Amino acid sequence: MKICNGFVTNSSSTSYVISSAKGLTRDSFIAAMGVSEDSLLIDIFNDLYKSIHSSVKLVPEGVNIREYLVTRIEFIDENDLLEIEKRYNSGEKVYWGELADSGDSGGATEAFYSHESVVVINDDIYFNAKSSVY
Amino acid sequence: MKIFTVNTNGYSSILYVLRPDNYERIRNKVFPSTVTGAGTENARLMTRIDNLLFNSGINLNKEYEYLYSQEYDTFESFLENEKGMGKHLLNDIVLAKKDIEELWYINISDFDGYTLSTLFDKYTWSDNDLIERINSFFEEVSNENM
Repeated sequence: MKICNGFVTNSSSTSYVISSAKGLTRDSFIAAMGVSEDSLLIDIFNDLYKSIHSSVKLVPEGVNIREYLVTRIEFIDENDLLEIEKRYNSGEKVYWGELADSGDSGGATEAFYSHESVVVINDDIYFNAKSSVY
Repeated sequence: MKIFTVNTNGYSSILYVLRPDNYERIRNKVFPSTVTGAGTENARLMTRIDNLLFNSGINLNKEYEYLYSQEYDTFESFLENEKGMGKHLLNDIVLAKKDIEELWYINISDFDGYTLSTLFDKYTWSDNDLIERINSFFEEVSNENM
C-alpha cells in the first residue's frame, strides 16, 4: 500500500494492454523495460510492475478480442487493436487494466504513468499504455 | 553533487541542485548514454531525468554574482531574502556545498511538464525515494574520485 498525503486533482488514468507469449512475470516485465537490477530506476519499474500486477485482468480465451477491449477500455487506435488481435489469435495471453493517478498500489510511479503514454514491443512482451486524459 | 527539494503547498515541483562545473564524469557514470537496452522505456526515462538535471535550470550563483551582489553581502542572504529559501533548507545546502559546485534552481513542471514532477514528489508520496536514490548514486561516483 502506497501512502498519498495530498489530494490528487484532475483524475486521470491510463488504460493498458499487455500481451505476452510466456505469461506476465516481474522478470519478463523488467527485462522488457530494459532495466538492469542495479539500475538507478529499478525501484520505479518495480513499482510499475506492482501496480500492474494488482490491477491486471486476463482476457479469457475464445472471445472476440476487438469487441472485448473496445467495450472495456478507451483503446481506440486501430493499429494497436490489429497488433493485439494478431497476438491474441496466435495464442499469446492478453491482459488489460488501468493505472490511476491516485497511485493506490504504485504510489508516485503509478501516478506518473497514469499521465504517460508508453508502447513497448519486444520478443516476449507487448505493453501499450495510453493516457485517456492529458 | 546533490539534489534538494522543497515542500510547496504539500507538493514539490522545485529542485535545488548542487552541480560542479565539471560534471561530465558524474553525468556519464550515473546517466550513461548507453544504458542497458538503449531505446527502451528505461532509457527514455533516464534521458528525461538526465536532461532535467543537467540541461535545465537557473544558476543561482551566477544570478547572485551578476544581479544581486551589490544588494546582498552574501549568497546565503540572497537566497533567504530574494528567493524566500527557508533556513532549514539553506542550512542543508550550505553544509553540503563544495567550492567547485554551484547551486541551480530547477522547476520540473516548467521544464518537462507536470508528469515528471510527480516522479520526484516526496511530499505527496511519502515513500518516494527517487531523489535519495539519485543522490546516493551521485555520492558513490563522487567518492570514486577521492
